[in-house]
Amino acid sequence: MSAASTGEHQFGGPANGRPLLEVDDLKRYFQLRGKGGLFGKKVLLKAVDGITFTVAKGETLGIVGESGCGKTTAARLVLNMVAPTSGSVVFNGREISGLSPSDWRALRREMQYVFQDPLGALDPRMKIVDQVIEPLVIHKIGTPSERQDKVAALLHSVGLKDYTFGRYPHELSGGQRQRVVLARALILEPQLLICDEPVSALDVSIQAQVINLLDELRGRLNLTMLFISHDLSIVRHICDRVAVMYLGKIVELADGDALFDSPAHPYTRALLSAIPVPEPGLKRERIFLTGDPPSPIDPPSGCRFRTRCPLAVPVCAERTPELKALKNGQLVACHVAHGEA
Amino acid sequence: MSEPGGKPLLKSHREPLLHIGGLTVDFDTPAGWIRGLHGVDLEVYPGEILGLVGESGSGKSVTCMAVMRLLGPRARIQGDVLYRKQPLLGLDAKGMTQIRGSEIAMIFQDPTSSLNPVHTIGRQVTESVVLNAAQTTLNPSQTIGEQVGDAVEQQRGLTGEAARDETVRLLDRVGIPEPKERLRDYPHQLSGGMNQRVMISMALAGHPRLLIADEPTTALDVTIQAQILELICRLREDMGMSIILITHDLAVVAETCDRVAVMYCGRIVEQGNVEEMFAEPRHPYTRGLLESLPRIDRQVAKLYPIEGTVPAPHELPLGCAFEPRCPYALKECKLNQPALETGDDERAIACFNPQFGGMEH
Repeated sequence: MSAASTGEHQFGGPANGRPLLEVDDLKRYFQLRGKGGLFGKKVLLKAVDGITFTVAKGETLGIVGESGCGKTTAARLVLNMVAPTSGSVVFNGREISGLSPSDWRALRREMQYVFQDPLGALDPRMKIVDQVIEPLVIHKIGTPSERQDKVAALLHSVGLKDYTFGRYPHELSGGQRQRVVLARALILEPQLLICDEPVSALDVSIQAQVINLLDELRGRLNLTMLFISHDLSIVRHICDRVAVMYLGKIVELADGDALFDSPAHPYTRALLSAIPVPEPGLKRERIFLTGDPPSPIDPPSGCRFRTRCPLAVPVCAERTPELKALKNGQLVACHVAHGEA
Repeated sequence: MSEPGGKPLLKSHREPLLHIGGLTVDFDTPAGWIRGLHGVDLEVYPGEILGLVGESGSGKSVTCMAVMRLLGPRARIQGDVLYRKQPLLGLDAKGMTQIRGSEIAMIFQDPTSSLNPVHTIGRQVTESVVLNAAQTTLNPSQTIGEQVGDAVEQQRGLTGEAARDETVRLLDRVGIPEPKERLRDYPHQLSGGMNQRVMISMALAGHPRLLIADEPTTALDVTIQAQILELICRLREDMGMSIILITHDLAVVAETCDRVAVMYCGRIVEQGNVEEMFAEPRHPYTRGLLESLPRIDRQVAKLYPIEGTVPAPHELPLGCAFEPRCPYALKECKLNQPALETGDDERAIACFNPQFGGMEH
């Protein structure tokens, strides 16, 4: 359903057939104080604990998982908003950490982001048209009249009418604001768009408008996207491939339809089975997980899901399962799925 | 609009537990009086789960807050609210306190935080008022045992050992593991799902016949949502309670409710049995909502969103509030307000041009 699946762009990025984004064994630990306040022992919160994935040009990769699984930290690491503890992020063939400020500024143009809260992302005292023009001014692109034309065309293409251009963010609806945020992210014609819960704050009917818009823009501009969401129905709709995270690790990574139709990791299965479907009487097997996810400060040994896993066997406590391919190409980190139990 | 006290909309052979007729609510705002509810008709029958759905600001919370009389002095409530044939709107404060908790209990979205991603105008107006009348959140500085114990004491008049035993029994009933050990825990030591269970246990303290659950799982992760919804369904089975489930999530309605009422701009636009309504939604707004949903169990080729946005409460059109966004609008829709009318099949629709048959997409 997207540009990537049509083939030729999939591995045909500008950097000699490399994926546009390569993330390798990326880790981010946060040091916190344990119980006892200032005198408490230092503890490590492993928000992201060794994730590896690539995103091909024109492809949309979804990252899903429940709160605290590390998906938002992963997005911030890719955007270099937080520095990694270890591991690498390679964008367009270049390692992003350790770039000089001027090199980083040039690269940063190519990666834009859209977060959940559009009101927080916009300057309340600036007119819509000025907010969208600002990146062009900062990057010294075009003459003032060229900028005006470009912004007007883009605002129209995200579905905003002329009368909104001179308004302030608080005068717009939530859906309109998210369109403004999208326009501002796209004005520099980035190669990679990172969306973190872009429609979560919107009502159902408006959600669908923004999803359709993203879908259309992606096709038209051949955008590569990293799409982070807790709403798996939306992820299924928009993503080519999907990574499922649990407590800082990727437990499964596969093509969208494969993942949703034949999930291989017990966590993915439970997660999918918990999502309601708008069809009364449709009998779906539901796997209830007992309890809550353990704390990322003191995760279980071996496989982190084992404490809630209906299939757990002794080896799961002893060794951490590696993310590796099943026969059908689905990447799964599970001893049981790989027949190692 | 059917007149107050008129025939029940559905299942006419049964006596409703709660009857709401022609309910209007006006808010006194700095900009003048603003009408939040425009005549809501709704019935809740014994033992059923009724889904009340709609987008932000549609009036679903305001309807229930009006029933509970939790809207405060700046709201003017008119119409009929009959609980077991007893009119609630005329009750004095003492009478209403007796109803709350022991007859009708309410739980809210996020038991620990004031962060409301899906907040409504009505909710914002009322939040502070509610705090005095009914507990919407857990007190962070009191233990679970103290808070549930207080509810038990207030609702059941139990004290000491008996109150403590009842507290433990309630916590156990809502699926809190090792309830005795939890009594000394504070809310921040429990997860969001566990805190919601604590709130439910407090709501159950007075053995209410009707539980109003206002977006009880919106702030929770899906695996925890599934647990809480399962708990709510089980409580209905075990205790024979009726439940009003307020939600914006149609998929949750499909999986948990018996009947559903869809609200738009302070009115009910369609009401009926869940199976029939999802198979053949007749109001263009209901159809639009269902067509704009992506699905987890199969790939949907394209979403068909409802164009435009919800009008603000002070900018409602003269006729049907959905007319500016409606693909099936007629001339008449611009001029007149369609009444909610119940057909022979017990489906109620407020529309001049209802659609029949399954959906095209």
